[in-house]
Parts: sequence; C-alpha cells; structure tokens
Amino acid sequence: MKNIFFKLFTFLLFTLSANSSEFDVKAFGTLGGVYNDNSNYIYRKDIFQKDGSSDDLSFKTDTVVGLQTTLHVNENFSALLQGIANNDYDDKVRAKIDWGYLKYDSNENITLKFGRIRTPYYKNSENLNIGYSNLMIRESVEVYGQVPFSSYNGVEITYSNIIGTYFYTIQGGYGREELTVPNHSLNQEANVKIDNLYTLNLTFGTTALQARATYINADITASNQSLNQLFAGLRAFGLDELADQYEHKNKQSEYLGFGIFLDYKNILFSSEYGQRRLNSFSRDLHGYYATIGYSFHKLIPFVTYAKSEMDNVTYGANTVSPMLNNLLRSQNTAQSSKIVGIKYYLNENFDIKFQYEYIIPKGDFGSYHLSSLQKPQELNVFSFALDFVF
Amino acid sequence: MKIILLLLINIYFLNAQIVIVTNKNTKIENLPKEIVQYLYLAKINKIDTIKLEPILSDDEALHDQFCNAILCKSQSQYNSYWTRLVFTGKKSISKKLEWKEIVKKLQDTNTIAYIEKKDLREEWKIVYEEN
Repeated sequence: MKNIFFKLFTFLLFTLSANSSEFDVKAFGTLGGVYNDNSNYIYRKDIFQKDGSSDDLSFKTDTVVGLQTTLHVNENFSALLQGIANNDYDDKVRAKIDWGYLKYDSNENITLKFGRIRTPYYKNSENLNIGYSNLMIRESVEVYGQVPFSSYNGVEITYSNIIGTYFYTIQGGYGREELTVPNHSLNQEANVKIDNLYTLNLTFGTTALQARATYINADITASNQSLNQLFAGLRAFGLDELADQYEHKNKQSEYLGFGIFLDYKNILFSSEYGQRRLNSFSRDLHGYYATIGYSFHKLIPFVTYAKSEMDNVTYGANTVSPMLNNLLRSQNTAQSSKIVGIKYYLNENFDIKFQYEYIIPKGDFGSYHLSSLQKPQELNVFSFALDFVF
Repeated sequence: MKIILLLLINIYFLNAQIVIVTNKNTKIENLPKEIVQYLYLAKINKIDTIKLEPILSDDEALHDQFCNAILCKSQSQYNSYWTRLVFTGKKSISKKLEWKEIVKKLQDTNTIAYIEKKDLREEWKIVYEEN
C-alpha cells in the first residue's frame, strides 16, 4: 500500500514538474566515519542498523546521501519528496523515499500537509539526515532513539503566529504507520502496526530562546511468530494476566517530550527530555541530553551529556517464563554518553565535524550497541563527518 | 602612525551602521528588532495586513554583519538555520541580490532590505536602526 502511494505520488510529482518552471531539486548528504575501540561491541547509530564499528573504521553508520524535490504548483500549493540512500538493517545500502507530501500554505498562519510526514518527536525529527543543519554528527540516542519510527502516513496542520515579540507554533497530526522493527539481540524482527496516531507539538519563544513540548498517543501492536507463540503459550497455561500485561497488542502508548534551546550571539545550548510509555514487553524509558557550544565564527566546539534509564524491570525480570524474561532483558537500551566535538563551517555548502564519545551501556545486550557480554563495558568512539548541501 | 590610521579606518568600515529600510510609501513606520528577526528567519511574512519580502544582499561582509548585529547569529548559524527550513520543506531560501537588484526591488512597497546607513536614498525610509 505504501509503495503504491509513493509510486503514484512520484509519478504525479514528475508529471506535473514536466510543465512547471517552479521545480526545485536539492541534494544533501554526509560522508562519515566511526571508530569504536571496544571489539566486544558493535557501535551503531540506532537499532535500525545491523553493522557498525567494532575496533575498525566504519563508514556505514553515518554516511547518507539524499535528494529533495519540490514542485511549487502556485502560491498556496506545493508537493515535496525526499529520498535517501544509506546502510539499512539488512546491512545493505538501499534507496528509499523518506517522506513526501502535498502541502497547502495559506500564506497567513496555517499550513496543511497530506502524505508521508515526519513525526515531530524531537526538535530535529524533521532534519535528522541533514547533517549540515545539526551541530553534532548524530543526535543523542538516549532521547532520539526512544521511538523506532520517524514518519507516518496522515495529515498535519500547523498554526503559527506572534504575541507581542514572541512567536508560537501549534502543530497537530493524525495518521497511521506500519514498519518492521529489528531486535538484533534475539535475531528477530517484529511487525509493528501503529493506529490512531495523534501528535501535538507546541513551540514558543523568540529567535534566541525557544521551548517546545510534544505529546504523542497511538495504539500499537508488535507481533511476529515467536512473540505470538510466546503469548499463546502463556495463555495455554492459564497465565492470561501475564500475557495481557506484556503482549504488545493494540496497546495505548504515549510519548511526552520537552525541550529548551538557546541560539544567541555566540552561545548555543539545547536540551531535550523524553519519556515513552508502552505498557508492554517494550519497556518504558526516559532520557535526556544537554549540549552547550560556543561559536568562534566558523568553528563551534561543543560538549554534551546524555543519559537514558529504563522505567521498568528488564534484565532483572523474574517472571515464570524464561523466554519472556529473555525478551524483557533484550529491551534494555539504557546508557549514558559524554561527548566532546567540533563543527567547522567550510562554506555555504560544506562543513566538517569531529567528535569523541565515551559511552557506558547499561543493558546485558549492549544497549544500542550489540554485545554478547553479560557485564557491560565502556566504549570510546571517535567520529568524523563531511556534510554537504546543494 | 600609518598602521594605526589604517586600523582605525578598518574598524570604522567593519562597524559601518546597518539599517533596515523599505520604500517610503510602505505603510510601516517602525519595526521592533524581534519582528525584523522573525521576517528574516521566516517566522512571519506579514506585518498587520502588509506582506513583506525580506531581501538578502550578496555583499558577504554586509550579510555577515547583518547576521551578527540584527539576527544575533553568526553567519554559520544562520546557514544552519536556513538549511533546516529548506530541507524540511518549510521555506525556500531567497537568492542573495546585487546592489542594483536591491535598489530595483525596493521600488516595491512590500520589501525590506538591510543596507549600510551611508547608502540610504531619498525614496527609502528606515524602519529599524540599531542604537
């Protein structure tokens, strides 16, 4: 269904563009390298990557290229499509349509989007792949890795205005999404269905200081053959209550996030807090990060501290089912990171970045960074990136 | 002595005063600094019912000074900000214009531009000036 939608959308975009002078194509990308010094771990950007750095230099983690096409139909209507190519969870480089939508802009205060839309969890949700627009090589996984889907099919309405010398934006969305979420620790994949997805995002502030709050609610089902067998087995033994508690079937799930951002004169500060409530074997989690940087004209050094903690039992799980205990243990993605780095703007098209991360995973399975060790160790991760936009 | 004089001249030019101007017939008299920032950072595109198009200069030194003094951002932060807007489909960035093009654009009443105060012409008026 998703493929048909995008084939139709792409066809429409290119057909219309053939007769339009307002057709705009832009390119972006990152060439990135990562070295993790701990051979007991595979350092990955998030759970959607299979391979990464394990005492070797990996170009798979951050390297991405993308194209964005925009068709301006008239002053009010436009169509946008953004596609990327990067290393995916099958450890293959694949091209895909990341998002695309038809947009109505009232040119007053309201915009409407229909199509595949970025989910507004975090400040940089919409520009995650645009390295040039971000300070760090990758956003803190302690916050940005909490929810394993970044786009949905649906509608979004945004209202923006000013009160005195302050501006505010109210953004609401509704939609649904289906995706496959890998669990590399157990060598499994889950089919995830997200229905009745409601998003609400508020931003308030000035051009220097901004605050944002996000609330997202959805009914989520995660299943595969192994999960179905596990919960059917529990019910067969009369453990219905246990099965109901942990099965991820049409469970109402929530995400709540807050952020504060300063971009004034030479000082940059950003901090976000997020917490997810999933009410199932996918465990509840909260995390935060704080980044401070100082702009010396083209050079911006920065430091970051980030931490995430599980809010329910994972590796201490002690249910009557060893299989369920193992599943719960694999859900632990708690960790903390200390990061120091620099971003240097070469010009309007290129920047280069270097950063060092000291990571302490908490979970038995290595948090986001795959490991077969039972006692977590530390990781020293060195990264560089060349970002470009045209 | 010559070196000191050259330095003083350089400092004078580096600190050339930037003003925000519009056509004399535009029905806007003064703009607060925050509103100028919102216009140039695409937060708003209207003042009351008057739609305004902010014009960018291709004079790199002037643009750099505008970013620092008026927007309170370095040019690199400004580039980052606009990259984010462009690649999230929110706005298209305007083309930077030569002086001749800016003069022509300011014939319209729905435009504003940043210029050095010494370049002010009779047919324009200042709507924001940094103290």
